[in-house]
Amino acid sequence: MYDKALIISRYHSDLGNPIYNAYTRGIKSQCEEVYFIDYFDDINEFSQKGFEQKVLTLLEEKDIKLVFFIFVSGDAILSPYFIQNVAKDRFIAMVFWDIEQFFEPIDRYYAQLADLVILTANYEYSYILKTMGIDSICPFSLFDSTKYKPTLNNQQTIDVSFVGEVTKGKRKEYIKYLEDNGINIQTYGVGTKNGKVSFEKVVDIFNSSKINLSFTGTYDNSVYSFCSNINNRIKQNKGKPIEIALCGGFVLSEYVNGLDKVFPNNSIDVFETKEELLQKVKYYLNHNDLREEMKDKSYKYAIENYDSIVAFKKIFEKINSMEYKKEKKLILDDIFIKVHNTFRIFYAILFLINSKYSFFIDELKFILKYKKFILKDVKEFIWFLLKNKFKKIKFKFAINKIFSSLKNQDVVIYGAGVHTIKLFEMFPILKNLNVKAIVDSNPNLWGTYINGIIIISPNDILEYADKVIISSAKFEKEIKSNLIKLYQKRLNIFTLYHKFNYDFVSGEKDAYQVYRNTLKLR
Amino acid sequence: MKILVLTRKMKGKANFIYNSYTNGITKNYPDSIVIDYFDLYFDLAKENFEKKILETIKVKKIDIVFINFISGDLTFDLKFLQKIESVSYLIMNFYDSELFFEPIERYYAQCANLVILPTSSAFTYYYKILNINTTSTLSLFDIKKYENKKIKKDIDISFIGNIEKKSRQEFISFLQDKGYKVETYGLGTKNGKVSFDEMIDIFNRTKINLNFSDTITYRSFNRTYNTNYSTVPKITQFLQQLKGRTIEVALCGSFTLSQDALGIDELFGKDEIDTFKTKDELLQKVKYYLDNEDIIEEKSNLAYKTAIVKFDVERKFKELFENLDLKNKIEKKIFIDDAFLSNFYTYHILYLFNFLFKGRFKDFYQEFKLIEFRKLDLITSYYHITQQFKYQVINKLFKGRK
Repeated sequence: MYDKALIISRYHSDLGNPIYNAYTRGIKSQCEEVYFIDYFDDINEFSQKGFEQKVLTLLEEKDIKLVFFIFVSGDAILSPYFIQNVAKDRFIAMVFWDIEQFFEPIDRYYAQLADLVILTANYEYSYILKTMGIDSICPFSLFDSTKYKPTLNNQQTIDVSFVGEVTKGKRKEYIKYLEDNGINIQTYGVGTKNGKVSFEKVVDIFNSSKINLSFTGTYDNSVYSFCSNINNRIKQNKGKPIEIALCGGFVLSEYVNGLDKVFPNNSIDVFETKEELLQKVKYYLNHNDLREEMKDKSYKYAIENYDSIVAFKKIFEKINSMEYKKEKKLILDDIFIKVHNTFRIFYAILFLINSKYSFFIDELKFILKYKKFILKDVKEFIWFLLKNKFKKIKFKFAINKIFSSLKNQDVVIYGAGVHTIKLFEMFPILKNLNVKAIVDSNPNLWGTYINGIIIISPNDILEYADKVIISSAKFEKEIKSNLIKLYQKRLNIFTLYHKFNYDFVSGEKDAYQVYRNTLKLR
Repeated sequence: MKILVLTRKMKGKANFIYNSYTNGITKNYPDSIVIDYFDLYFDLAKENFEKKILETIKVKKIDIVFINFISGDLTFDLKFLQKIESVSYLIMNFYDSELFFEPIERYYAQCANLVILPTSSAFTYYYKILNINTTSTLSLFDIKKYENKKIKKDIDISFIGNIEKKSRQEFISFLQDKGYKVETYGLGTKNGKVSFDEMIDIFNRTKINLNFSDTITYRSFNRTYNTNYSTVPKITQFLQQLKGRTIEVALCGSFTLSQDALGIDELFGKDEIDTFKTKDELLQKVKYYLDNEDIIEEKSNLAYKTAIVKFDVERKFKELFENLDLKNKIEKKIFIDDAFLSNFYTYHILYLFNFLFKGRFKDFYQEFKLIEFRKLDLITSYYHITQQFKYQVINKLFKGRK
């Protein structure tokens, strides 16, 4: 029995990526003392060496024998030698997202040091890991079910909906096919007319739709120089049907092998062709009772299996029944060494430009020891940083201009998050504006203060000012459209981020993560 | 049903698993046509080789093409395999997929309607996740070639195989140090290599036949077979090969004590063979079985009964082919990576220089057109060139050998 555990992962807020918190929640429910280290932040702050020392000291001091590595998808910054050191006389559990994409160049090299791999999607990897002598468990994607509740009113105002990216491939084609055949379908996300929506809105959409569509994940591995094209053949068994089911929504999903293991009780349906999709959409729109029956079954199954607390109870039963491996052998191929070293170069460059010279030298020593790296990626990263720098200058100039035009005027700032705090730090000119209030949709924040400025509800804006500056990079579009709905033309709205395509908060700190995100969209 | 088998025709009983698979097909379907594709390529070169195979499919009205791949072989062009698949039902068999899946076989397998593997069923998921129709047949044998002689067992413990690999020597020395006599045969042993018939005799005479699963090693280039192991990722050292030796021993009515491996329980049950993980466990079990020869006999009899049914290539292929749905062919999109292309073109350096040294300039030019100035692995290319120079020039000049 383990009463203490350390989680080494990346912190994501519920708004950013709630699945990370769901896993932490599950681990916390089974262990009395759980420590969390954000390896992105700590490497940035203390260097790789400092981060490693911090982890080892904590493990020694607190006598922790169970360590979870919850890797950011496709991330290769952690040293396998460090993990091997941590793994000595300890039980190591690892979680990989998108293992289907990154198994070959990255994840399998880390996985060889694991006592247990917790799989989130394709169960086939249980067998593949088994051939390597690695134990695994596949509970599929786990969520915090308290965040995905069905709404009580249960008003299904949308016939068919899809939340996700629809810029390319099959999704676009299939959705158009439904529209052309007279189906009322609402789409949300990148490339849709409704645009990106918040997490709360997603839950609302799942609840309000008669049919929620889900498409299987497909990849374009060519965007990553280290991924093999042939793995484009793999279809990802995504977590979306589970999220929909947890909201009590009805799921119609594109077929993918293993979906019958996610919902083995015939509580969701699948399609393979657009013709089959259309036929099933029509059928289910005309069979309310059957739909209700199926969604109740899928909800029950999801609650019983995919809530992170329930699932981690089973995972801990497995962990407690196992012994950690005495010998953890490490075998590395050139591909991993290249990718790992390339990631270290990204950090080295960031240390250099942020004047952290001793960190830079440490990284340089490591890089020179292993020598191999992916030149193309390093060149692209440097180019990305230069473009970012230029964007930042352009952004600062334009924002200063907006703020100058509002000098001495009463304004409110929408968004009580990190962007607003950073905005005050980055633009001293804001002091010349009469910032009367900060607006946020989270009722828990109303009446509290940032920099001595009160946080208010979106409904009370006009009591303070008629000019609003939106300070949220992710939900700028959604906030703007809500404000227009609420106030029509009574408000003057100023947006900061979208038109400059620049998010100065993450653009600075997580430069390499942002860079990788830009790769995905390339 | 008419089947075209593209395989290697092995002479005598050397590595005769190729011939066993071929016989398994021809016994069931006597109209089948068997071609040694390696020889055919050397004889005709690329263009005529492909033409000949496509013509055979057309003229002989072939339903199924069965390619029995030589381990690590890259003779076939992917585009040609696509052509074969478009006019027939294409089955591929890979023997050492644990090694060559990543650099070679997954690319070829994209063209197949069915892939069959002698591996554990867990390994088939490497293919299944790529949406490739795959099944594990386990290793199959021409059972008539094996004989249960029912003779007196005068060897306590024996091992036949390459003793230079990994921990084999360590395990065997451990037994010898503890006073057990272990007869060893094969590469690196004092008794040296043995013929197939001698091997059958040894199996029959041995009380405990040892089997090791640690066969995967990271090597560079096998000059004997022109097989390039340097393309195999080092991390595959974690994989254990499910060897057919246990089955061969059982077919001779003898008992195997095998190193544990994933999938060994798919071959035989615990009442038929036994396994060990550590040296101490090996020692303890050797002692136990030598003290209990009646249990050895009991297990051997059960294993023999299983083996002659479960691993009989003729019977298994009958089942396999009878259950095929030849019309069920899924749409195929082929993905290629630079690493595969580099391996493919590098392999064809072998043919390029073979034709050059034989003075077959037209065929040389065909290969040259294929390779052009593409990215090659220079070290492997060097090996191919030197090997061909040795075979085609030096040997002919000095020894008059073919």
